[in-house]
Amino acid sequence: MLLLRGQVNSGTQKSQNQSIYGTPSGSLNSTALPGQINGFGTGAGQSRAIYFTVSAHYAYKGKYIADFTSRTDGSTKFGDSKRWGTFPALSLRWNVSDEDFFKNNVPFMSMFSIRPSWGINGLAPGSEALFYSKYSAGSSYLNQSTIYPKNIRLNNLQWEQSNSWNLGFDLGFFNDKLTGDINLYVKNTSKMLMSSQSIPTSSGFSSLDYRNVGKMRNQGWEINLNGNRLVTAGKFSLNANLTFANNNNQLLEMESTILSKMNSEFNFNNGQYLTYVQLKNAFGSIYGFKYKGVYQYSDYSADEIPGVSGPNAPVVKDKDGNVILNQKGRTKPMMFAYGTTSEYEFVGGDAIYEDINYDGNINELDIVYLGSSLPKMTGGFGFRLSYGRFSWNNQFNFRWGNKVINAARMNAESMYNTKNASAAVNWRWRVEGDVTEIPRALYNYGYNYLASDRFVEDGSFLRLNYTQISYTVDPKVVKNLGVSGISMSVSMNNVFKLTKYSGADPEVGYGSYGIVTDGAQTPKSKQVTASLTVQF
Amino acid sequence: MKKIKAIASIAALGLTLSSCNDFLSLVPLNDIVLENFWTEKADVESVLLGTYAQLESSDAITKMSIWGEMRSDNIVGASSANNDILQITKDNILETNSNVSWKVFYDVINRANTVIYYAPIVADKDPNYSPDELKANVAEATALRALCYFYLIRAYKDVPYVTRPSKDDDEEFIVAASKFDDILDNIISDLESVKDDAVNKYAKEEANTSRITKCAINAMLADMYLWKGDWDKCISYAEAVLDRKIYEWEELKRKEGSDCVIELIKDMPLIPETVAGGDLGNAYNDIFGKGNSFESIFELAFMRNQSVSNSFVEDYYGSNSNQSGSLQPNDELMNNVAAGTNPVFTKYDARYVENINSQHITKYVNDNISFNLSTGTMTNRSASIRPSQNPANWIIYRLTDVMLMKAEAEVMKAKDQADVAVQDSLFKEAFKIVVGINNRSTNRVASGDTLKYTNYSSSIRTMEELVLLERRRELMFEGKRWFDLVRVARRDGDTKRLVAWIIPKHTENQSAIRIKLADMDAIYFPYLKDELKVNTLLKQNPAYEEDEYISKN
Repeated sequence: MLLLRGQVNSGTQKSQNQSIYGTPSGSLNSTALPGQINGFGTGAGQSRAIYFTVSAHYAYKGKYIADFTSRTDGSTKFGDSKRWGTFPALSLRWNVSDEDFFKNNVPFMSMFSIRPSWGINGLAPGSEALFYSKYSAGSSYLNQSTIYPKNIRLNNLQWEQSNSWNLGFDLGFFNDKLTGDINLYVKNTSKMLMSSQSIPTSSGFSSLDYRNVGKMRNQGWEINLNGNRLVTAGKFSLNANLTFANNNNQLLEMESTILSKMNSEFNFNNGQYLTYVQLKNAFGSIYGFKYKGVYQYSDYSADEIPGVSGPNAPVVKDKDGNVILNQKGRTKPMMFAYGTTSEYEFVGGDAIYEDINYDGNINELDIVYLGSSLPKMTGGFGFRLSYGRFSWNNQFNFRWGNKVINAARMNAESMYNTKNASAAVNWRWRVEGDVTEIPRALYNYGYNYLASDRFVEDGSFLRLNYTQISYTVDPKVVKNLGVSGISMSVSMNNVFKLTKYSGADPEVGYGSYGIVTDGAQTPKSKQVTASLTVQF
Repeated sequence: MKKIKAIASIAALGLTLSSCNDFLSLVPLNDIVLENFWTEKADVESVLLGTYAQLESSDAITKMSIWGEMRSDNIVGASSANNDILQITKDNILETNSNVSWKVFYDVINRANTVIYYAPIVADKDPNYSPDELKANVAEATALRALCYFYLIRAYKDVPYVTRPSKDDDEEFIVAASKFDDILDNIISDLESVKDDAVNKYAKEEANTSRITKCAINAMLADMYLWKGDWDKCISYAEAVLDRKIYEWEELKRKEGSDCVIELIKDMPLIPETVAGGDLGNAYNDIFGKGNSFESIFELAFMRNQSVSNSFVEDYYGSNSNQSGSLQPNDELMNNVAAGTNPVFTKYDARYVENINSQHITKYVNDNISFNLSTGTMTNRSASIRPSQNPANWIIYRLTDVMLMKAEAEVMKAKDQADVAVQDSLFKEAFKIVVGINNRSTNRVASGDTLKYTNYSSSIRTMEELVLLERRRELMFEGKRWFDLVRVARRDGDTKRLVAWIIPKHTENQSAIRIKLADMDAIYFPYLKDELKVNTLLKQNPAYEEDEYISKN
C-alpha cells in the first residue's frame, strides 16, 4: 500500500498599534477617542511551509510487517541551498509468536513480537528570514535618517536532525494473563539549533541569531508490565501493573566557546549553585562545597577548654588533619576567597566547608560534584483487588536516586535577612563552645549559606497517587428499582508519600540543562471524591 | 503510454519543486534586505550617517570618557555612581566589569567597513554616484574606522584588527589581537592614503564640524604621529590644521566684517572669552554651549528638540533636574582656587568657573554662562543649566587640542637637538602656543602674558609638564587626560610620573594601586571576560590575568 500526501501552509500577520493618553474616560478604549497620541506603529510578517510525505505499508501473512515513510519539508526559514529537508522513517515488526516453531517450543508465551524502528526528525529554528542580511533604520544624525546593518546573515543554518533508534518487544504470557512491553531507545540529535549564540564582539555583533552547535544524545529504556487477573480465588481477583524507566541526556559535541558561555562562574555569593554542562556527562549535575558543620570555637587549642577554645576552630589543617603552624608556631586562619574583594576570615559559629585542596582558602577550587538532579529510575505501579462487586484500585508513582536543592530551606535557615526563618534557627550557634549544625546569625554578612551539600537532599519518593473503592449494585436488584445500573465509588488523590526529603514536595520538574531547585513549590493537594452513578 | 505518463508525472513533480522554491522565497516585510539595498548613493550616505549615529550613542561617548579620563586625576566617582563606574575611578578594574566591553566601537567599525565594502559596488550601479563622491565617502568611513581603532589601542593596547564587514556566518569571527604599533601604522597609512579624497567643506554649515573633513583627518594624523613619536610629522599636520583655520578666519572676516569677534591670539585664531569688554564666558558659550564653533574640528552633533540627546553628559556630569551626575571633579582641582594656591587653576582662570561649580562638573552641562573675574574674585555669575535631553555636542578634536599637540611635539623634538639655539627656538614656539591659550582664558591679552617663559625654559621636563598642564586645564572633562598620561608613560618607558600624578586622588588602597600600576600593562584596560570566553585567540592583558592560583599558605 502506498500513500502520497502533501500540504502547503502559508501565514501572514499584520499588526498595528496606537497609544493614547489623556482620554476622557478610563473605561473607554477606542483609538478614536480624543487624547494625546504618544506612539503608533505597524508590523508585518509572512511565513510559508510545504511538506510531502510518501508512506508505504507492507504486511506478509500478518507476521512480517514493514512501514516506511519519508517526509520532505521545505521552509522559508532557510536559505536556498538548505531549504529542503528529507526525513525518512522505517519500522519493522515480526510477530514471532505466530511462527509455528515458536508456538511448538514456547507454549507459555502467548505473544512475542519484535519491533525495531529507525527514523530521522527535523527541526527548524523559531524565527524567519535568518538567511537575509537585514538593514534597519537607526537614530538620526544631523537631522538625516540613518540605516545600519542589523544582523549577520546565516548562510550555513541547517535543519536540526534527530536520529532515533528504537527496539521494542511486545510480550504476553499464559494466555495474556501477563502482558508487557519493553522499549530501548537512543536518539542522537545532531546540528543542534541554539538561539543567540555569542560571538566575539570584534565582529560588531554580540551574537548570531541561531547556530547549529553540536550533538546530543538522549537514551533510555522503559518497561511496562500488566497482570490481568493475576490471582483469582473464588470471588477474589487481583490485577496489577508496573512500569519503570530511565532516561538521560548528554552532550556529545559542542564548541568549547559555547560551553564556557553556558557554564556559570562562581561569583563568591551565598546560595549560588553552579550550572555546569560537560561533554559526555548527563545534564543536571550539582556542584558546590562540602558542608562539615559549624566551627565550635574561634580560637584553637588541641584540647578543649570549655567556653574558650577547642580543636574545632577555623585553622588550616593538612591532609592528615594535623594543624599547620607558621614559623612562629602559630596556627593559620581559615579564609574565604583570599586575595579577592570578597575576602573573609572564618570565626567560631561560621559554617565549615571542606578545604578540598588543603590550601587554607575556601574558594572555587574547593567546589566538588554533589550529585545529579536526574533520577536513576522513575516509574509507577498499581494494583486492583476485586471481590465480587467490590473493587479497590491503587496507583503509585516513584522516583529514585535523584538530588534536589532545597532552596526553601536554605532561605529559611540562612539568617541573612529579615525574612521569615524556620524554627531550626533556634538551634543556631550562639556562644563559644556551642555544638550545633546551624551556623550563627549574620545580617547581610558572611558566607554561612554558600552552595553546599547542606541543602542538597535526596529527592527519592514513593507516592500513592490515587486510590479508589467502588461497588456496583447487583443488576437484578437494580432492575426492580426501574433503573439499568447503579454504581458508587469513593476515591482519593495524593494519599500519601514516602520520602526522606524535608521540603514540601520532592516532585520538582527536571530535564533541561540546569539543576533542580525547590523554592517551596505548592505541594499537590489531596482530593477526595465520592460519586454515585445511576443509569436509567 | 505508461512510460509517457511516468515521464510526464516526473516532469510535473520537478516543475512543482522548482516553483515551490519560488513559493518559499519570502522577503521579510519589516526590514530592508541586502538584495534590495546598495543600489544608489543615498544608501551609502544613510549607512555612513549610521556610523556617526552609533559613534554618538551614549554607550560610545561613555566609553570615550571611561577610557580617556575616568582613571585620571581629573575625575572621581560620586556616591551615586554605580559600582562598576566607581571601581574604574578607583582604578580597581576587573575583567568582569561590564564597562570594559568594547562592543560599541566595533559596531561603529563594522558599519564603516560595510560602507567601504559596498560603496564601490554602488558606484558601478548608480551613474549619479561620481568617483569623487565615492572617494569622499570612503575617506570618511576610513577616517571613522581609524578613529575607533585609535581609541581602542589607547585603551587596550593590542586589539583585533578587522577591516572587512561581518556579512555572513562564513566569516571567521575569532581574530587574534594585533599589536599596538602595527595598528597605529596601519591606521596612519590608511589616513595618509585617503586624506586628499576627503571633503574640505560641506554644503551644510554644521556638517563642517560634525562630519569628517580633510581638516579632521589632519588633526587625527597629528594626534597619531604624536603617539608614534614622529615629531616632525605631528608638527606639520598640526600646522596644516592651523593654516586651514586661518583661511576660514579670513573668509569669515570677509563675510562678517567687523562683526567677526575671532581674534588672532599668538598667531592662533581663537574665540575670545570676552567681547567688547563685557563679562567672561563667551568662548565657553560658543564652543560648548552652542556647539559647532569656529574652533571645532570634529565633534559629534546633537540636534535640539530631537529624541537623540547626549545622555552621557546628563547621567555622568549632571542636568538641571539632577545636578550631581555619577562623576565629580577631583578635590585637587577645587581647593584653594580663590586663595591662588591651586596647582592647576589660577584665580583668574575662566576655565575653572566654566568647568566646575560646587563639586559638580559643569562643562557641557551649562548652556550659557557669564561671570566677571577681573578682581580675581568671581562676581556676577549667571548660568543656565541644560535640561535633560541635553543637546551638547561631544567634541573630539578642536583647535587648541591640536595646537597643544604641536607644542608637545616641539618640546619632544627639542630633546633630540644638540644645538641650544635650535632647542630654544623650539621651546619658544611651544611656549607661544601654551601662553596664547592660557592668555585667552585668563583674559589678560592686553595686560601681558600670564606665564613667564623663563620659569619653564630650564629643562625639557619642565616644558613638557607645562604643556601637559595646559592640556589638562584646557581639555578637562573632554575625555583626554588619561590618554595623555598613558602617552607620557609610553614615552618614558615606565609609569613613575603617571603614578605620581594620579596617586593623590586615591584616598584608599594607595599602596596597592602603586604596586599594580608599576606594571606598564596595567595602564591599559583588561579585555572583558565574556569576550575571552568566545574569542579563544585573545590572551588577557598579563596585568589582569586571573589570580586564581594565588596561594595563601
